[in-house]
Amino acid sequence: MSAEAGAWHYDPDAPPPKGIWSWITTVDHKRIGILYGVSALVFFLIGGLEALLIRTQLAVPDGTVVSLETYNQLFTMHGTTMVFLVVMPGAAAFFNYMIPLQIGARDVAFPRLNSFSYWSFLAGGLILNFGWLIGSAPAMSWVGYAPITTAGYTDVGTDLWIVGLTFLAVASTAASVNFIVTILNFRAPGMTMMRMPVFTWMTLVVQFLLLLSFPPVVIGLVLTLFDRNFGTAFYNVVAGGDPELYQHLFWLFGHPEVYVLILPSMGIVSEILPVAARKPLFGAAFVIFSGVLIGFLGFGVWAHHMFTAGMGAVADAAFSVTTMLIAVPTGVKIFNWIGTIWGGQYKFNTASIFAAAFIFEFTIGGVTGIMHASPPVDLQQHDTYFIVAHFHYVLFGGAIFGLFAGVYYWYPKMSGKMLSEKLGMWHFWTTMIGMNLTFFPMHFLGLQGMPRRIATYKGGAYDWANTNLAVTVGAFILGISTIIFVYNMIVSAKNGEDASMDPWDGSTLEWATQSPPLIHNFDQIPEVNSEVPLWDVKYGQWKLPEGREENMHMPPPSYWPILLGIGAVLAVTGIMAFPMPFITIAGVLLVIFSIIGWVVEPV
Amino acid sequence: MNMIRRCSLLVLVWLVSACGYDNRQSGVDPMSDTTRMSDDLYNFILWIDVVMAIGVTVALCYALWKFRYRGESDRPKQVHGHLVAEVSWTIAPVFILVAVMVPTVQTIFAQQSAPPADALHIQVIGKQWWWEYEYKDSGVVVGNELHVPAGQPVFLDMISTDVIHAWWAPKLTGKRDVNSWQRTYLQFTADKPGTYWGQCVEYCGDSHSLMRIKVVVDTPEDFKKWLAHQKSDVVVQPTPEVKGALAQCFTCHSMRGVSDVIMRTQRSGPDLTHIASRTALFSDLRDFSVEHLKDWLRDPRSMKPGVRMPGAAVKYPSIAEDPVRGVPGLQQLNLTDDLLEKVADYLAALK
Amino acid sequence: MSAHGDLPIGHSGEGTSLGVPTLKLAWWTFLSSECMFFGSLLATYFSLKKNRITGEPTPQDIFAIDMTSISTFVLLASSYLMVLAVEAIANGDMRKTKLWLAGTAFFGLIFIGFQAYEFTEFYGLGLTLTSGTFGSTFFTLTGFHGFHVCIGIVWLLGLFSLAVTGWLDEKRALTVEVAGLYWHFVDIVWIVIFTIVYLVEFVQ
Repeated sequence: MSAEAGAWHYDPDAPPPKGIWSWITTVDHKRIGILYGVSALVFFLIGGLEALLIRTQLAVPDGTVVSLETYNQLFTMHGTTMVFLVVMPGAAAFFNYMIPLQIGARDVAFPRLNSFSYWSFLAGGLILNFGWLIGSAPAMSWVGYAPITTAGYTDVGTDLWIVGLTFLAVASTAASVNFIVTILNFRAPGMTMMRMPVFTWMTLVVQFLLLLSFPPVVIGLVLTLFDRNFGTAFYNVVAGGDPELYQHLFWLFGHPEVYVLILPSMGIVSEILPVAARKPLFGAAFVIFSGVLIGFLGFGVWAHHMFTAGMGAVADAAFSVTTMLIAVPTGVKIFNWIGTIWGGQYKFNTASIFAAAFIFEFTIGGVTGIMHASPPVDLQQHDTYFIVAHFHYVLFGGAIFGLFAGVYYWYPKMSGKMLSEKLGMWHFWTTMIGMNLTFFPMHFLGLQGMPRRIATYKGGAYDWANTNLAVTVGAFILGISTIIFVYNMIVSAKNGEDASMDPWDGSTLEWATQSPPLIHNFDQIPEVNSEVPLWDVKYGQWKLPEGREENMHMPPPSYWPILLGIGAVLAVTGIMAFPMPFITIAGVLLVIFSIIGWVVEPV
Repeated sequence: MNMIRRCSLLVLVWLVSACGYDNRQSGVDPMSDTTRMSDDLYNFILWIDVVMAIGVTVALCYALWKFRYRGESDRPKQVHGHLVAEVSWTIAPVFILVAVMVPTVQTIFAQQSAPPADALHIQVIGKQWWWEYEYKDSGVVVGNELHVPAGQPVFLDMISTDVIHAWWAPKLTGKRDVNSWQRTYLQFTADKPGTYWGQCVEYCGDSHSLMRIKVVVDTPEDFKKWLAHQKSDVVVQPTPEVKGALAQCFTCHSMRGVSDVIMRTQRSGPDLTHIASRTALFSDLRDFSVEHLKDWLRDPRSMKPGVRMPGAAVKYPSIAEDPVRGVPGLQQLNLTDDLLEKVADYLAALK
Repeated sequence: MSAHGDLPIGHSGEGTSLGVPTLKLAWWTFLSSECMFFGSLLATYFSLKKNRITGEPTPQDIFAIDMTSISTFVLLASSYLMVLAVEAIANGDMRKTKLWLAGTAFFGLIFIGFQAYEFTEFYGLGLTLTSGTFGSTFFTLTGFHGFHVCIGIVWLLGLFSLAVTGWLDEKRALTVEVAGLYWHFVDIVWIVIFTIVYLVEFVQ
């Protein structure tokens, strides 16, 4: 195929291209990873701001900081943003950057598709947030249960929400195909499946979850869109429809989605702990297979989110039992992580302390999950702050802590500079204090009967005021910690200490590349002999090939992915803002034109 | 056991929030048969959780301390795993989970069994953003304030005429969604008389936060008296002037002895026959007072955003102008200030 | 030399970890997502089947099984032509490749024509997108399938045009093969839909 490369010839010695155009047209997995990361960070700040407004409103009883309508928009967008625009792209940043490096590849299988995934994701994120600009952000909670989303109950924000999520679904599906194929087919010689790093393994599981779980929710959303705009009967009981159908379609996605959010962080922690403890991951095969099992079981437990929906005793009992089963592989992971530290020489730095804190926070979020798996208990806790506490322990103390650990661990690789350890420790401790002060008291609020998604509570009537104030203080501490984090990243990028190739004494292949890696990653594709190839090199007899491969072929930059994304946005916006058929037609033509350009472009 | 749990929780709550143990809408203060079942199971799992969380935390902290890096140059022994350890910590949780599963499944079926024959059958209708209760045996219909007798099983047969709501009075029963035109059920037997609170716990639109629940548990005798009174017509007839003004209310509201009876599911406002016998107004938004009634008649949306009721002081958009927040019928009440006061005074007299 | 450097988009199975051409692996992966897509639509159809309202036409009222059987046969026949196209390009016979690609697309168009006729007919008989759950689920399910067929037709015609320009040659046989994968998948989905939506209604 290299004969068809045409005019494009990759020069490994040329300096990396500069300028905005080079970022727009980039197909380099590392740059796309950085784009995902920066976008996730920006959305993290937006979602965090929404959270702070929510907490300001609830700090005192009868809060009047925002109106009820605005509050409803805030919690809807906070949930949507944090799930879809922060944790998912935050993890995607690491998938993109690290997977090809970890498996010893030059890029992902379909670099241009990878670029398209990013632009589609960005379009989805912007469409979701567009509602703020026109004063009509979606307000029906992040689950968007029908029939409140069907005609007559909510504004155009709901349409934007549906279309935005559909763009994200397209992005995720394309990315999942890309990464599954990359991981299965682009591994370095000698890297059998069981020699793959655990982060790569968890990524593989996540991609399968995304691939198979997004279609149900897309159908659920499309049916909502039809009900809203064309008057179909799907969720209209009077016409024979069934709103509970939406809940099933949503949670058939929504529960695997929970593992989509947490498994990448579990993978990151499984990378950092062995390196920090200077010994291999304890029971690596068990950690891997428990991850696979969690993903598998994740498709059989969705209705535990619906114990209050009135499914009947038999369904409640069945889903209760399957849900509890998931505790087994989860426990196995926690025990193996502690087993990894046990007998090691644990080096404390910001990355490794975040990884250790992850185990602690995730365990707290995990054990309360057992309560919700029991429907009689869940009937008292469902949709209260107890649930809010539970999933923030899992998603903030779990997923976000894992991502923070990943940032401290891989930032030197991605930027060539070390993050400041001093600021890192400040960040860690403020996060740790803020996080537990914010989310632990929420357990008590929930037990005391405070429902989630309420904008106000009557002064004097409930004993929630002091606890809420404590939670709000915690939230603002988290706000401060986030500022420290962002400041650290910006300052270190300029003034940070230069990072060596392998600052942590790592065991996996990404540490065999320069910091930051060259466009082609490896001068010679490495060969591996075990799951810790770099330790084999440093502490054993193993050698990586030396010298530079001749005539490397790397894909040329391409503007077709972003054109395709723009075309799709135009086509959809034109339909939504009916009657603007010209925009739709222009969009469709641009889509067709881009696909043709894409196909015949020599690579 | 229960005492210890209560005390330890009390201490924790005090530590965290420096406040007392809530007693209005608490989910761990069971006052009925069904919530006691939930609470027993909660206590059981709570202790398992506490032991597990502390166990993991102690093991983690000990490992981090004991096996911290002390500047060694040699790497530690490269252990890859331990089969016996793996198998045992895979099997051990299974036993714990079985111990949780068995009582869980038993409780599920106990809580959702068929209602006993002597149960008080009440139809609950959720609407944006208030509740209607119809006592099936007597045909009595009341808005927002539910009365039930202590010691008698209560069976709630629930439906919503718009979006999904959820009915939850934590001390009396766990929550259940109130689905759009699909029935769901709850049942409980209250221990003793008293007032209990709760609220809608499924997001249902603008004023979801204000859709509260108030349940008054009476002694059986008091309940009988209350029910008989609720069944009667209005205690005072309106003057012709007030009656003329009330006509515009009867599109949505009903008033036994004054207005025609309207089909239950089509009625979008609560029954007003004995409104002054309630202690709270607008689904527990305000205490009952004639001033609050007047404010409401002037501009209900200033108290409850998005509500379908028109006010006398402000003209709301029609449903044609705003399909989401428009009012279906009258856009503005036709009431002079003077008449408004008279109407409010009349309503306040409807004990 | 490693296979990675010169195979950025993996047109050949040679040198890949699994030994399967990357593009083919990608399409199989994607089709598993499509299975969930149609599975969800079918689940919707099933779960709403039990609460059809009176007042909208029933399947027995309006389905013309003989006509739909013909269109199903046409779609099945198109799959056979697709096989011939894949075989032709594998053998380097570009004339036949073009012929069978166009033939497959043509048969697909006939199927779409039948569907358009059927939809119009049903609308005339009172079954519409808004008439009730039968109408909503029927048009959404078969509509999404028809949309997939249309994408397939555009794809095949695109390949045909690229073959005419000479871009498509036997070195790019894999692109025709994955188009075939997609086309067969869409056909199989139709078999399932035809059975569940049309035939089962007449089994009593």
